[in-house]
Amino acid sequence: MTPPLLEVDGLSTHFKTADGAVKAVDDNSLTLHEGEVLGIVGESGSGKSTLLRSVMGIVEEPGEIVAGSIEYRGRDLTAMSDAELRELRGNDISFIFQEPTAHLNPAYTVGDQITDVLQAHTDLDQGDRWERVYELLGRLGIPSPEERAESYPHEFSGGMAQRVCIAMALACEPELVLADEPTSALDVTIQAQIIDLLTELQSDLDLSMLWVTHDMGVVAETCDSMGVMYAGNIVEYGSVDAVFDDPKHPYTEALLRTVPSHLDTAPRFDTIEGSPPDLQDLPSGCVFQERCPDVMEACRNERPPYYEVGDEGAWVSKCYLHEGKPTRPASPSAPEPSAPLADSQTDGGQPTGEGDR
Amino acid sequence: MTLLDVDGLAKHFAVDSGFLSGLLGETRQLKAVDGIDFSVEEGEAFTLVGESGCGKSTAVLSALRHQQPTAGTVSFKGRDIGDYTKRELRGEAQLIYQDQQDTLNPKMSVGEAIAEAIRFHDIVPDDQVDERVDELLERVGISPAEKYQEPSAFSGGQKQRIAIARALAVEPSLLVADEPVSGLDVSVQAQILNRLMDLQEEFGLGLIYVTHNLGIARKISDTIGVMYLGRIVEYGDVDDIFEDPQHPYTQALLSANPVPDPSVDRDRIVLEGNMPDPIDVDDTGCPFAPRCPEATSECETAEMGLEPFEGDEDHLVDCIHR
Repeated sequence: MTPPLLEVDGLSTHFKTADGAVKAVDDNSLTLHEGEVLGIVGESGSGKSTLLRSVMGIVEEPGEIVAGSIEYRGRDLTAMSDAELRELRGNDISFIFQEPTAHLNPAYTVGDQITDVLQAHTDLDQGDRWERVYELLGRLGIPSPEERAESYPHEFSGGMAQRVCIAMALACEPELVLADEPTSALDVTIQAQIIDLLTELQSDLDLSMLWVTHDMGVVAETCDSMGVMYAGNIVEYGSVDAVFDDPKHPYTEALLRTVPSHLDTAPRFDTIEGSPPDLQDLPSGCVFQERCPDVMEACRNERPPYYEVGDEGAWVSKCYLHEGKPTRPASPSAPEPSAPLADSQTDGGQPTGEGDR
Repeated sequence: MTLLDVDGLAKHFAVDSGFLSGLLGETRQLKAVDGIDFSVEEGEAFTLVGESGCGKSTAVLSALRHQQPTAGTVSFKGRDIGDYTKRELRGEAQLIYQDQQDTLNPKMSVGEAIAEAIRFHDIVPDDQVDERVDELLERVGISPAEKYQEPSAFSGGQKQRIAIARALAVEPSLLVADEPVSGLDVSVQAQILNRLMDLQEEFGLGLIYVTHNLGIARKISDTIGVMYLGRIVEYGDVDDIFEDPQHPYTQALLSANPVPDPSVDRDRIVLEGNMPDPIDVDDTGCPFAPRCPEATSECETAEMGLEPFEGDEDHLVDCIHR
């Protein structure tokens, strides 16, 4: 049997600070199959961006992957050398970020920047590289590609700059695209253009995508499956249709109620009282216990395992409400307290939280 | 009673267009707001909704004389707004911004910031100020025991609550909120907006809300104005507009807004291109025509203006095809 495209198992990414570890990502597992679009959704500080950056291999100091594995086609990314990672990132895995202009070099034309990527990762000669640039820009809906390739990043609007970044991400025909809030900085009508474009490209090129967002509407429109993150934990994981239709975890249920929709006519917003826990001082039991309407004794003692709430483990929820259902063997429950980490001191380490918006 | 009545409001900015055109005496105008009308009654919640750069913030700031408008008349409680002193106007209309970092003095405790506003506007005798501060903080869900803290001790959501308390402290008749929760997470947003709606209803305040978030606009508003390129293109009751939008831009905007429900199958209208720069806009015809799926040659030359839709004086649309 071929392994899934991406398999993350028991991943923990902590930020070491003088006051102890900030557990931005704490024992998370997920599986991404070929051609699948998986959304990771959560509020700011939930760890979704750190999770994505861990997979990208770009966690910033003092953050560190302290446990778990990230396998791409069966090869563990956490065990790879920098050179191997660079090779893989250019050819097989690419990134799209929230702020396109922050990831383009203002001093070079966009054509130069895309041809650089092609030069580093393909055998195309110079003429072919430029042909490929024009083809890509045209495919991304940028009018007059041959002229626009000569433009600098600041000459593009936000939506057009994101098209350029997507062109660059697709330049070497990757299999996996990791996208961090790719439409969140854009206005609604421009966001709709980019969502349409990404959805079309994903299907035409059979791309697999890991798409991080805080926007439930975007997940509903773009993703096949989803993981809901809260306080460093993916608390529920399943197909988008199933999770939206019948959320199993109390946090998912609460979050879905809270999202303001322009079709909702109730006089007031639904709320989740309280605020998320301190990632430096997570409770020993369930991370959602303080705000959960269904909290029980068991929730206070030990982190719940993933219970299978759908067929064949494709839908799981980290909540004792499902006790009696099979637990997912591949994903152990709470990790051992990371004692060595809590002891280690870093000079002047600032609690960075995570690189979220 | 009508609190604010805005008629033909415009705010243009002169744009430095370079050395040569400077020599030739040409100045270009950025028409951030280009002739809009709206009014807000006592107790009414009116929302200006639109995408970034449409002029919604500039519209309220120039209506309330935080910026000098280029043209138009604005009256407040029936009196020309230009006749109000700054102090009088601040006592009547209070603003809450997106980022309270810029408006709360970092060196002053939040209790003192609220007390200062109460004293400046002579709301209660001096010996009752402390008590009033405590009441206000409680009303917005902050413990009065925390009033001695400086703003840095509070989270973004708490700062926004404090800003609301300070705005209410002067007992205004109109509250203006410009994207007050857009930096906050949905669960925090919901708590603050519910509180804001409760207080607005309880005190019978007029509210002008400015946002790009259609989900928030739906809940918070009685009436809305949809802005595009410095103009209000559709105006009326929020439910009428959200359920049966008439202007092609409103239709596209609502259809493109992602809905958090995968079982809702919608026909999205995806507009091409961007909203153009307000500098390059042609004065004649409809400013939306270049992106409009229904545009005809008449749209380029037509005389534009909000007109009742099918005779309904409460639902106005600026489109010659309606």
